[in-house]
Amino acid sequence: MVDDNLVVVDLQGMGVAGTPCMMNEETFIGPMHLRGEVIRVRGSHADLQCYEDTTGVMVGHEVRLTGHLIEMELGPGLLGATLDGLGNRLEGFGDFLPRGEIVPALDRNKRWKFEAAVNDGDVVSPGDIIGTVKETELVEHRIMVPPLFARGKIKGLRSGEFTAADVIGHVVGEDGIERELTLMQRWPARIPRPAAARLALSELLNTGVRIIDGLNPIMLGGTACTPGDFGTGKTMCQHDLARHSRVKIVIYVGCGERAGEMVELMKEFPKLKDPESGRPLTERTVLFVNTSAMPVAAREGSILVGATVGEYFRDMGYDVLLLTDSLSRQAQGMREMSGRLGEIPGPQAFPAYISAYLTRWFERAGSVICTGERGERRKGSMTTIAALSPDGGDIAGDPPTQASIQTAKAALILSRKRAAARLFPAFDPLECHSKYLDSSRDALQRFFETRELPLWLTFVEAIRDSVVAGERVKSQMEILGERGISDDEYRKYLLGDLVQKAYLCQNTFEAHDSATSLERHYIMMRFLVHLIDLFPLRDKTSMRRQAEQLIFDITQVNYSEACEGGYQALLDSVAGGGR
Amino acid sequence: MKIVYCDISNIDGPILQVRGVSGVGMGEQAILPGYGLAKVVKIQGDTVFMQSLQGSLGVLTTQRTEFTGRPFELPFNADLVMGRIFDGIGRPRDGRPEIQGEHIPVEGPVVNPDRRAMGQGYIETGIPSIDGANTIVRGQKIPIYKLPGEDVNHIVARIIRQARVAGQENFSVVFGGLGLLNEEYLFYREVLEDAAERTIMCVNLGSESPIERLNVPHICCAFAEKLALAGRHVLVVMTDMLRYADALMEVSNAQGKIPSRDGYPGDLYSRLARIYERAVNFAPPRGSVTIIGVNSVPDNDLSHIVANLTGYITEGQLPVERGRFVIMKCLSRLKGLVVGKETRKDHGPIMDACVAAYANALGLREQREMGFSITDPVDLAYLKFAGEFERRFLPADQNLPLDQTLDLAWELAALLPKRVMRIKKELLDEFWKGPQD
Repeated sequence: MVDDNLVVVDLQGMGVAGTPCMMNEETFIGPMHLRGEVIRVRGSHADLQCYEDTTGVMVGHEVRLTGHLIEMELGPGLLGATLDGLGNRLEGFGDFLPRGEIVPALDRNKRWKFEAAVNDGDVVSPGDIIGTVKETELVEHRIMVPPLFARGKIKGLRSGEFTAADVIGHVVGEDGIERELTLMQRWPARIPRPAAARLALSELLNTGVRIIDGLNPIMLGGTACTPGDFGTGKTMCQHDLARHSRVKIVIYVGCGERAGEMVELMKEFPKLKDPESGRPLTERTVLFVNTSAMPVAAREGSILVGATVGEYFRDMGYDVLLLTDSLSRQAQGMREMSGRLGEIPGPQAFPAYISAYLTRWFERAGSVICTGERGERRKGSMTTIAALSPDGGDIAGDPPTQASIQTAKAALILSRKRAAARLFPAFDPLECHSKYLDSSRDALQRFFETRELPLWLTFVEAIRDSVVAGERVKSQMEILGERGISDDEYRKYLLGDLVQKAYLCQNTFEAHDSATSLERHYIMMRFLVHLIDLFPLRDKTSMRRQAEQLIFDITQVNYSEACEGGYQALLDSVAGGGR
Repeated sequence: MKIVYCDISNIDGPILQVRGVSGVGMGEQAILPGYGLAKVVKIQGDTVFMQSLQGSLGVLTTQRTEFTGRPFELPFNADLVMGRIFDGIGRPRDGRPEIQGEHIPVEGPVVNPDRRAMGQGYIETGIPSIDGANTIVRGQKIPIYKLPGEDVNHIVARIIRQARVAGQENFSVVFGGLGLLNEEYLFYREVLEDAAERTIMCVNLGSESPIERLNVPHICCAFAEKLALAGRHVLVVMTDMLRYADALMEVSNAQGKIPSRDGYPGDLYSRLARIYERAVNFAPPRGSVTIIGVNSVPDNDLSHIVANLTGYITEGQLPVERGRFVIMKCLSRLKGLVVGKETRKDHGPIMDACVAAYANALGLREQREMGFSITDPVDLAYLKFAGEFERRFLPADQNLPLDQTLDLAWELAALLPKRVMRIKKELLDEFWKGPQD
């Protein structure tokens, strides 16, 4: 049977006694070699999800079973590459995407300079680093013994120039089998890569976005979601995180979204510089491009291969950020498939397992001790931040969004009202929350103490209180009017408004405001906390004028390179009763 | 290769089933001689499910079916298509002969994102609200939202007649009519006559099959893509995309698919994306495809699923109410790529200032309507500005070159005191038309 991208294959027809088939096995369908995957087996029939457009597929066409799951190629050449949802390198295709063609993720012609780090006879285990390739100025690609190798001795490993597929040496396993080493390895995308141990999270991810780093922190190795209706700046926010986050590697998965936005990233990243090293951002980034017009099954492919590549760099001992825009498109793709399979639908016709599926995917994030027995233990992490696009903009009623908010420990909710008021980033400070403020509080406190920012969490509390109080008074004012509330309450409203406009809002086009380092952020918070204390209680009109002026002045300081003196001058003038 | 069958076993709405078939491929076109065309949408064992483009009214169970062995294709010839009108299956509906030319797939492959260029150049519509405040970039996709009862045909007609690409001769328009009323069809036929040398139309009438309607956007985009590859800049204008979504719902339900939200099928997003994503900017010397889709929005509610998904897919929106663009709700996400870079340096600042001033004036007007008296001379100037802005700038029935649109904006801004303009001093020195403060 063929029904859109669902293809049913008769296993009996494939051999005399029938062919054995594995759940989630990779398959190739028909003379066009369309890539597919077994997603259900019933008696002698297997249901395949086809990753490409099935036009022209006939009953009677042969299906080839490969004997393995869908795999991702891992090795030097990933950084700076633009790959589709199945890991094909897009530059290898012409103007249009052909069907049934494969362009391997790693360019087989490119030669890499490999420096061996172990000698013949050394005993190695899976995960051990056997050498390095300087893949980009920013990243040393650590070549590891693949996870499924047996422990054994190195034989014939040499430094030199190799392509990704060249044999660079062997491991003679303790099981007596000799296995080939290459610069690349393969890993099934659906299965999380192994780690020696999963750790409790202990560090903050510095995203440079103040409303995140301050009020709604994300831990390195943690999870977050950013749900928002169209036009609220979801994609812009993901782009900003990709640019500014202080991590070693960024994996950006464009899943079922506009091609134009991905083109922007593809053309822009080679020109943008990493703030620390001044090198082009492409040198630390892998882009997966699955646009909304591509077949829906490949959406799932994109989030799985994205996670696999992220884990691979994590295993080298790096901090990885996995950004996905948008997870909803994958969930909707699953909904389409579920309908075709005739499964009993859950809410909004999503399959019943959608929440469990998303939880499993988010759980691939984490901070780990990497596998490997030689040398020092490496620590690596993968942090996951996923955007969601709820149908109808209905955050409360959209099952994938709700499942993500439940699972991801920081929920950064974008608000249409704030976007319309041009308050960017348009996160709603009252709706957003980070469970890390509770669950990782001690770890965060220790983290800030080692960074010599000991009062960070205290400042955050004070600032949050101010925002909450301001919003409370604001809603009272909507009923009672300005005259209906006391001057003291009005002061709280003005300060809450000031904190939102001068601190939570950030101008992504201003070099010094677009991303805030932890040190600068700390200075800013300390200033605001003092300002909240010092701001004089006067009549409403005077307070309002002063607050308006302060918002303007603070914004100017935010835009300038050195901020501490500017803030101090403002504090002095407020304390001195200036103006 | 043709395979012929003589029985139809099941008729269920527009879905026809033929049994005992082999050698037929997914998506293949079938001819029902004497009746019409169909497309293979599902194959189960030896049963083929076809979606009949003409519905099923009057289909005999003994109807012959010829499977063509090819997907749905369209004859195309760049030299012959201009000024022509086609129907929802690509046949001429202007009484002139069939096009002789190469056959192109209606739903072709997806453009490689790696081969797309960043948006550049813009489409000048002559309508100040668009060109000035919401410039449409070549390769952009943007919907015009309207209430179901609102008639925007005169605006669409203006865009078809007036649109141009600055400094480029090689510009074409493809118009797609989805479920047009006969009266509307006659209206657009006249529009075509005015711009026949550069316009193609593909029209499905409201009285015709809704299944054929599903083809119209794809036919328009297939033509546009071909022309763009040959170096033309093409604007595709389609109305009304809500009718497309409704036709899709009808077909999906007939196939027994489980609806997801408000009765629409779960793949509505993917389907709409497959249309709008054909908007593209190729690297020169090749051209571009820009798409404007008119979309009725019941109750003006942007959380309505069709408008909402369209919002996720497209790059901005142009809502229309009572014949005017609702400037406060309009957005062109890509305009930053060209404004001030390919247009005059004052373009961005003066338009931002005018829109901000208008927003401020609307707030004042609201206060006045609530019974507060507005007496401050600056406030009164804002109200005067708003009145003139609405009278002279916002109406859609204009045809101004962009430079004149910007001049008009400066002229209107002169109604306000210079000091409230949040514009850089150098620009004010050069462009300010009002009295000095």
